[in-house]
Parts: sequence; C-alpha cells; structure tokens
Amino acid sequence: MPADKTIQELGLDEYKFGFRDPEEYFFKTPRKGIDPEIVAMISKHKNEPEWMLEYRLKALEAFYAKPTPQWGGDLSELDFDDIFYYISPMENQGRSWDDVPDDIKNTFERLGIPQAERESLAGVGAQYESEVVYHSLKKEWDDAGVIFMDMDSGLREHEDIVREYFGTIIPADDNKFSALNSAVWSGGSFVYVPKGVHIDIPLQAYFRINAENMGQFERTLIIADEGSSVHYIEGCTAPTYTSNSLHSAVVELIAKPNARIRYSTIQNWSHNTYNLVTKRAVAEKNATVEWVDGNLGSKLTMKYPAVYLTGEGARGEILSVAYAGDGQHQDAGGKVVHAAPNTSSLITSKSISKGTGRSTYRGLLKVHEGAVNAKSRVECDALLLDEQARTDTYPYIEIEEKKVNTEHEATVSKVGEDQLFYLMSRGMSEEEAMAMVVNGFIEPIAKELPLEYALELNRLIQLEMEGSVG
Amino acid sequence: MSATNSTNGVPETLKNKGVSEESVKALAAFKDEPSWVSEKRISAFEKFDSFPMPTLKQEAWKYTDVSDFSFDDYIPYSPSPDVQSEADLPEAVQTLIKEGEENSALIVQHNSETSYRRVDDDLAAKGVILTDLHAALRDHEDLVKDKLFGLVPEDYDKFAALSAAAFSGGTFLYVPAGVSVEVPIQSYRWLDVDGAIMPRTLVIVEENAQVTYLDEYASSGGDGEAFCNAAVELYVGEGANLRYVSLQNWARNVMHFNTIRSTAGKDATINSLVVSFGANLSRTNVEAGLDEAGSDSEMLGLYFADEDQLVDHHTLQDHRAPSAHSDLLYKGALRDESLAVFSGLIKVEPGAQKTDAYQTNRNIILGTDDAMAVSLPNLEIMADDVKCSHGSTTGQVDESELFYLMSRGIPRLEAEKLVVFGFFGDVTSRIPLEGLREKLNLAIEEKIGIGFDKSVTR
Repeated sequence: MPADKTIQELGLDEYKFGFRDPEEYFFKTPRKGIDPEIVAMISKHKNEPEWMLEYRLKALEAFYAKPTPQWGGDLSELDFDDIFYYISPMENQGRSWDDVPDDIKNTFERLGIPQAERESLAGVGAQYESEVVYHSLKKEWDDAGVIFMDMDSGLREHEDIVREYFGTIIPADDNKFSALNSAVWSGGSFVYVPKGVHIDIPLQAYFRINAENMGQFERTLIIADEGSSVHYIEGCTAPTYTSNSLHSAVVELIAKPNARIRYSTIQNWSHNTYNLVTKRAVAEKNATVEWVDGNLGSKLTMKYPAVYLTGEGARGEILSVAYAGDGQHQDAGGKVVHAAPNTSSLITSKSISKGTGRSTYRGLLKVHEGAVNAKSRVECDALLLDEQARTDTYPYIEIEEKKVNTEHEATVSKVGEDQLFYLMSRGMSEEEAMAMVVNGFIEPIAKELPLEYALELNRLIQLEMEGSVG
Repeated sequence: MSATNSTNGVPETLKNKGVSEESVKALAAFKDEPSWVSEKRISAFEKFDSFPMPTLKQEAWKYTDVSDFSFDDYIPYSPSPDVQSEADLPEAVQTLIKEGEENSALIVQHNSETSYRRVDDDLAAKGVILTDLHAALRDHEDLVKDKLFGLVPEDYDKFAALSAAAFSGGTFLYVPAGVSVEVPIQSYRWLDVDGAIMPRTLVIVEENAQVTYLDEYASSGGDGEAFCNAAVELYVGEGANLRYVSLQNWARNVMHFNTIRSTAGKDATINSLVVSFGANLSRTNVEAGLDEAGSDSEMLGLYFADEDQLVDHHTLQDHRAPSAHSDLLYKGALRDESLAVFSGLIKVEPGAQKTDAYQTNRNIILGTDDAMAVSLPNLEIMADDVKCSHGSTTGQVDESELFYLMSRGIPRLEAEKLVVFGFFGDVTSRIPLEGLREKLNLAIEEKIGIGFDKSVTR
C-alpha cells in the first residue's frame, strides 16, 4: 500500500469492528508483518506524541539494518512477516478484579494469583494481548507519589519522565530485537518510585499471548529514585499454539544512588514461542539491582539480563534458573559491567535439561580499567536428566583492571543414582524423587522468590517433569 | 650424524617475499618428495588462498587482531647449513642445549631446514626414529603417510592450510610398540633471519610405548620481522604415554602461530605443557582428542605477557569416547600493556558417558592497569552421565600473602616475586623435569624483573 494514504483510507474503521475472532478486538493491525505504515498506525491508534512516532520509525530502520544474530539459538524458522505486531483486546482498562476477563482469571487461578491478590498483592497489571487491562494500586502509594501503570498510560500521563529515560539504557539500535520492540512496543509497565520511598509489597504484572501469530512487545521502564526501593514481579504463562509466536520485550531499570531494585520473572511461554528479550539495568552510586530470572517453556529463549555498575559501591546480582524440556533451547545468562570502583557482582545460574532439551549459559563479566576493587563471582551449575539432553556454558570474562577479584565456576552433573536410591528407599516413586532432587538443585534461586512464586516455580517444574504442562 | 638436507640450488621464487602457487610448486620440486605430498601442498595452497584472513568478527579471533599481518611480508624459505657436530651449531643454540634437559636424542631446525640431529645408539637399536620430516618422507613413507596432515589438516584454518602448503624442515619422532624412552628427546627451532619458518612436527608413539618430547622455539632477535607457522600432530597409541612440552621463547620480532592436536588411544595418557613467553603475538591452539575409552589428557599451560605482547591460547578437550579423563590448568601473569586471551572448551560428544573433565584458568595482573586478561572457559555437554567443571579467576598478587611474607622479614619486592613464583608453582610442580623447571623459573624471574617494585600499588 502506498505510504501516503491516511488511516481512514486504509479502512481502519472496518477493522475496528469487523473482526470475527472469538475475542472482541478493539484494534488489530490490518495485516501481518511490519513496515513504516504499520508502525505509524500503532502510534496513531495510541495518540502518541510526534517524538515517539519518530522514535519508532527510526527504530524500524535499525531493525531492518541489524542482522539476525548468528550466535545463540536457532532463529532460522522465525518469520518476521508472519506475525501480527499489534492487537488490543479492549478499549478500557479494568479498575477492579471483576472487570478482568474470565480467561485471564483462569490463568491467574492456575497460578494462585487471586489468593496472592487477597493476601499480598498491592497492584496487578495484566497484559492481555499487548495492552494492560487491569491495575489496582494501593492508595497509600498514590499518596507517596509512586507511579505504577502501563507504559502507554505512562507516556500519556508522565510524558516528561518517560521522554527523559525511555531508551537511554537500551538504545533502539542495541540489537535487532530491541530495535523491533522500539518500533512496535505496546504495553508493559512504567514504574517511578520517588526519593526515599520504600515499597514493601512487590508490584506484579502478568503477561500472556493468546492470539495466534501475535507478537508481544511490552516495554517496561522502572526508575527508583535516590534511596528508594522496589520489587517488581513479572510472570508469564501462555497456552500452546501450533504456529510460532514471538515475544520480544525491552526492560530498562534505573537505580539512582542508594536505591534498590529487584526484578523477578518466571516465564513459562508456550513451546512454540520465541522469547527474545533485552533486559538491562544501571546501578548508580551504592545502588543495588537484582534480577531473578526463571525461564521455562518457549521454543527458544535468548535472554541475558544485564547490570551496568556505573557508580561507586554499586552492586549487581543475577539469579537465573532455566528448564529446557524436549525440543526446547534456553539460552540465558547474564551480563555485568563494572565501570566504577568498589563495585561487586554475583551471577548464579542453574539449568536443567531434560529429554532433548538444551540449556545454555551465556554471560559477560567485564571490568573496566579504573574499577578498582571490583569483586565478582559467577557460578553456573547444570543438571542433565537424560542422555539426549545438552548443556553449554559460554562465559566471557574481560578484565582490564589489576586490583580485582573475579571468579567463575561451572559444574555439570547428572542426578546421582545414590540420591535417587536413597529417596526411593523411603517410599518415593522415581518421579517424586527426581522432582525432589531438582527442587533442591534450584533452591538457591527459589528461596529468593516470594513464597507463592517459589511454590509456583516448583510446581511448574514438577508439571514439566511430568510432561503435562501445556 | 648430520641431517640430509640439500640447500644447493634454492629456487629463486623462494627468495622473494610472499607465498604463491609458484613458490609452493617450486618448494615441492626442490624437496623431491612423494607425489602425494606435492599434491597435498597444491590443494592446501588453494585452501589457503580461499580462506579469508581472520577478523575480530570471528568468535575464535575476537580479541586477537591480525589485520596488520600479511603473508606477503615474509620470505617463505631460508636455508641453513648442515653441521656435523653440536660444536658447529650457532653458539646460542649450544647454550640452549647445555641449559636444557639431558637428552637421549636431539634435533635442531635452523631457519627452514634441519641442520643437525643425534640419536643415541641404544635408542636407534630399539627402533626409535628421530629425523627431519623430509627424510622421513623418503625413508619411512609407510609410517608417515596416513598420519601426516591427519590431525592438523589443511582445512583446519588458514594457518594450517599454509603449513600444509609450505612446510619445510620439521620433525618426525617414532617410538615403536613397548619401547620406553627414559631420557627426554629434545628438539630446537632456531631462527636468526627475517622471514617465515614453517616447521611441522609428527609424533607417533605406538602401543604401550612411552616418551618425553620437548619442543623449544628460540631466536636471535633482529630488526626485521619474522613469522613462525607451526603444526604439531601427536598420535598416542593404546596404553602409551607421551609427555609433550612446547616452550615458545621467541624474540619480540616474531609472530607465532601454532596448532597442536593430539589423539589418544585406549588407556593412553598425554601430558602436555604449553609455555608462551616470547613473540610479539603468539596464538596457540591446543586440542586433545579423547578418542578411546580410558584415555587421559593432562593439559598444562603457562604464559607471562609483558610490554605489548598478545598471548592467545585456544584449547579443546574433545571427549568422543566414554570413560575418558581430561584435566586442564592454564595460568598466566600479565603486566604493562599486554593482552592475554584464554579460550578453552570442554566438549562432551553424545555417548561419551562417564566423562570426567576439568578446566581451570587463572590470571594475575601485575604492574600497571593497562594489561587486559580475557578468559572464556566454555562447556558443551551432550551426554548426561558426566562430571565436568571449569573455573576461572583473575586478580592481583594477594596482599594477605604479601603481608604474611613481609611480616617474616622478607622485603616487599622479594615477597612479590615469591608470590608470583607460588602462583606458577602449582603448574611447574606438576612437571617431573627438573632442568625444565629451572629454565622456566629463570624465565619467570626475568619477566618479573626490573620495575616490578614500582609497579605494585602501595
């Protein structure tokens, strides 16, 4: 289609009401694939400011220019032209639990969310097909000046803050997938915590894909101002489809001096989803950033949460657990860049490969010259449950400073026969015994999660091991 | 005994810089070698010609910049005289031999040709062969034929292709089944011209035989630029035992490229030690194939980079058979503006159950902060019943160790030296060759040397 046609001429109004899909779409791009016109439509539909449209279009050029990575997982079957880049489920966001669609509720039900909501949830942002549909925020946070909303609303209501920080940690042209996200992003969370404010109860958001061949391109930006702290939790589940889906998020965290951000994820995408995510944080003076990252599901995950320690005394921690079942490849890990003195980091990675699954740890530890007294430790443990399973470790360690102390260790092992025998001799079935050993193996990560999430992670892994999780 | 090479009538084309199809053909004709070798040279040259020069974009060369390097800058062949006795060798080589381990056989390659060799009578009587590679192609073609180019083939990489096309000199060591060589066998590569040398080493240790073989690279230094492109193939038969040492101590005008690959038979053991002290750029690939059950590879490495040296080791522990064991320990020190790269892979192929593999790389940075250590300890595991682990550390001289020594009255500078020696100690102590250990310690001492006292932050 010629690019100079207006949205009306494109018959967009028909699309608005003309769907015959089971879901009632408010808006869906008129075709699969991506081009400037589609990008303009998305931006127009959201009534975005001009600078964001320009940002998107520039990012699209970067997406075209960047090659598909030749390292990591196999991306040869990923067809960028076979994906709908935008669908919105409904016009308005729900303000209460009752407004949340039943099928999302069911997903939450399976994961114990309603209970969590009652007990400890302070806010829920549920992303349903690229649009956050539900939020509830405790009044006291509003009073404290905490902002927690979906990214689109954030852009509308806090344009100045968003414009100041958006894309500063992960430039659009950082890589092919950050460029794609920057061009078509939709939804995700925007969090701003003012100086000195501590949020004790985690902020939570759930995402899921439930339209065939639909990409999810959420964009999350979290800013913790000086001396504040926040824990953000993101979880994902997705029903299985028969054709490939793409999830490509960008998450940017900024921890100002003395601030603390913890970002926890348990992702369980359906087994035909490409999960290609760019996550990066900056930790300023004496700030702490922690990524807790659990990866189950998906066909291929490529995700390496990063922390740039830019201020003296900053600390970064990455805890990563991956479970690769039949036909899955979890290519995950972490990156830490020490760019200031007296910074410290810890990466702990645990992976489990079952059946024909493959798990890969890929990481970078970089210490720049001048980052004196940097301390870093990287620990990778891999557990292999089957003869066809595979595991790889590719840590990159680049040290330019002599006054440092860096350590990397990795081990690969199988579940010990004697461990299993011991447990089975006490009346457990082999399956139960195996699950128990695996749970023990991931315990260092699980114990860092809030209780209901730790339970969820254990349950998901158990279900995976029974081969019964869709 | 003298070597049996002829340096008369060197073709004109070999006196010009650069390698070409013409020069390769001229070398083949000049060497009067079996036709399969000449054919190999020509097909290898085609490979060499078609392979692009490595760039930083390639994973295997990510940190090692060879963009300024050109094969056209070097004369590909430099003859040297045959000599009849050790006393006729260049004085510097005589000194190296005197300082070296006691040996039962000795071979010297001077520039592009073998100039001297000696094999003790009792070894020769047992059927041990140590000779120039070209002589081996003439006299022992049946032993060499299936093995030469078998482990470092011309399609391994651009440098290996060049080696197959343009090798000259080189060494063949053969130890027959059941023969135990008690005293080490020694080889020296001596370079005193500007130009390229391309030695190949082929070692065959038959069933249940054992031998220690030391390869040493040294040069007189000079204003011009020199280039060594080496390939080493080590075949170790069932139950056999090979200890192989590569000591690279070139002057700073040399660029060094070497690929060392070994294959181990059932219950065979290979102990390798790769030492990189010299050259301005040194790139060594060390690959151990654990090809049969029960095979065992110990891989030790020692490097010390100063000034603007670049030292790059790429190692592979390739487990292709069950119940094999490998253990790698590479330790390096860096100072000044040097760069050290270690990239090691443990690969466990499908079916290689009961694998036991370890890999450790440790670096210390001394002196200024302009040095950079890169460590890439990789694992690729495709069998589940395995024990594999790797570790990597980078740091500085341990202050608490220094304090301990100084509190006992040892001056700081002396204490620092002791700590560095201690750091290398757990590699050197695993080498049962006293003369070599002393040589290494001297070299380390020299490297720590002057200015180290100024270089440690107070």
